[in-house]
Order: sequence, then C-alpha cells, then structure tokens
Amino acid sequence: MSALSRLDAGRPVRTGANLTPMIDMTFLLVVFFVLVSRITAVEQVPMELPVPTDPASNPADETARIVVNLAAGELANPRSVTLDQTAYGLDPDGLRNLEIELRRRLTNSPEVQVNLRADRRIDYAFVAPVIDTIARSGRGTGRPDGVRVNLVVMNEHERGATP
Amino acid sequence: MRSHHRASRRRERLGPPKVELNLTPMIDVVFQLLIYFLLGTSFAVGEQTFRMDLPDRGGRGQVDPFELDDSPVVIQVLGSGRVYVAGPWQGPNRTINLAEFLEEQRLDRGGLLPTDTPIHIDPNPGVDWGEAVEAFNAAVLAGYHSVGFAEGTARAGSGR
Repeated sequence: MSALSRLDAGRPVRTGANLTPMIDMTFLLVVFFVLVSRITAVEQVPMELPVPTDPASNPADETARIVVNLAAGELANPRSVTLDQTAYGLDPDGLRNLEIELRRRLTNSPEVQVNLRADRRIDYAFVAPVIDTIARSGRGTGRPDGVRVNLVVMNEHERGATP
Repeated sequence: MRSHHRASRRRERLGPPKVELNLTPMIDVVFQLLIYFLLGTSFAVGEQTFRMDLPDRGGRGQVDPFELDDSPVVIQVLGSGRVYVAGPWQGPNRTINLAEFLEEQRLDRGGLLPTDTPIHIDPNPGVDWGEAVEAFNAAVLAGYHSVGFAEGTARAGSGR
C-alpha cells in the first residue's frame, strides 16, 4: 500500500473492502442455522428428562434414530406421544397408528434405533403402552433381538462439563 | 527520462489505483472453524442413553428349544423411593440401596447371579418415570447386562 502511494504521489487512494463474499457467507450461515435449529426443535421437545443419581448411561451415539417424545401435559400426564411433528393419541387407535408409522420406518432403515424421551414426572402407566408399541413395531422388520431402544436421560455432570 | 514519461502516461490511462482487502482467506478460515465446531458440538447437551433391546414377546411364534429359561429377578418399584426385590434374600427397601445390593448378588462377587441374569424392572402404574429409570440405572450400575422393563409376563427387554 505504501509502495502504491509512493508511485501515485498526490493522487487520492480509494480504499474499499469487497464485502460481497462475506455477505454471501453470512446468509449461508443464517440459512444453515435456521434449518439446524428447526431440526433440533423437532427432535427435542422441551421436557424434564429423568436425572439418575450416579448415572451408568452412555453418551448418545450418532446412529440413525427415530425420536419418540412423551412430554408432560398440563397435569403432568401426557395426552399424546409425538414422532417428529406428528402427535398420536395414547388411546388404542393412536398407538396403533404410531406402531404402523414406526414399523414403516424400521423396515425402511435396518440400522435405525428408537430414542424414547419421556418426562420424568409422567406416571409409568402412560409410558408402558408406548414401550409396548415400540416393541410391537419391530414385528416383521427382521430384528431377531427386537427394536433397539435408547432411554434418554439427563446427565447433570455432563451438562455441567460441556461448554 | 523518456521511459519515466512513458510510465507516468500508462498510470494515467489505468486510473486511480484501487486498494482492496482480500477476504477470501478469512472466509476460508471461518468456514474451517465452523466445520470444526459443528463436528465437536452436540445439540443435545447432557443427554445420555440407556440401551435396551425390546423383543416382541407377544408376537413370537417359534420357541427356540435350546434357549435356557432364565428366571428373571423382578424389581418392583413401589414409589416414594421404595423397592421390593423378590427372591431368597432380604432385599433392600430403598432404591438408593438397590445398586449395592444387586452388585453383592453377582456371581463374581460371591453371590448367586451371573451378570447376564435378566433383571426386570416392574414399576407400579402410579410411579413416575423418573423413579422407574432410577431403578433401571441401579441395575445397570451394578453390572448386569440384561435389564429391561416388565409388564406382567408380556414384556422384557435387555439392555445396558
């Protein structure tokens, strides 16, 4: 820059940053984070997960998964179970529909696992039919050991340690 | 003298010089950092899992004749931190003592139970899920590999 100024002594030097690539990148990042946050919101319905004392749980791996959410309702107990953005009632019809949808996905993806996220305040009476439904959904999907289910819990120590 | 004159005329033809900042390397680096943090970041902070296989016992048509009939240890979760472990022992009354008790019953710790003994958690319907998971965690913590939930005789899982 100083060399140029010396060559063009007396001339005004126009300086300007080309911001176009930066703006391009910024927009790409915005789009990316909007999409990721939407995906995360679909999978992670806000709820109070069980917090075992001295947990023997494992970190969640990156295997393909179906996330079934059982969030607490107004009076702690839920009215429906959600798979992605679809809510299924906890009545026999709703659970049958959930079973059909789970079986379809399990058949399409042999490696897929089911993550069960249930609020810790929910009575077991509401969780048990969902576990039964998941177990039944593995019928005819070529899984001799049954459906691999991951019970999702919260590890308070891990949460504290993660930046 | 002549060459100097020619050079200044060429500069006049080119117009005033432009000074630009080359942002490309910075964007490259930013992109590398972005990928690094994305790979290193988990959006489910603090979430962990217990693995459990859920066989469909209700739909089982064929019975393996060589399969041993392991009688499971059933842990009833009664609520308010109370449990009952059916068996030939004086089991613990509280969930907080469950892991220690189950560990003492392991064959390799002088007890009677191999670590592949099926452990069935059987919570009462009114027990909240957090307490049921607490009992599940105690069985896994004690070193058993085949822990699941039981509902009568209909369901049993295995996991850790």
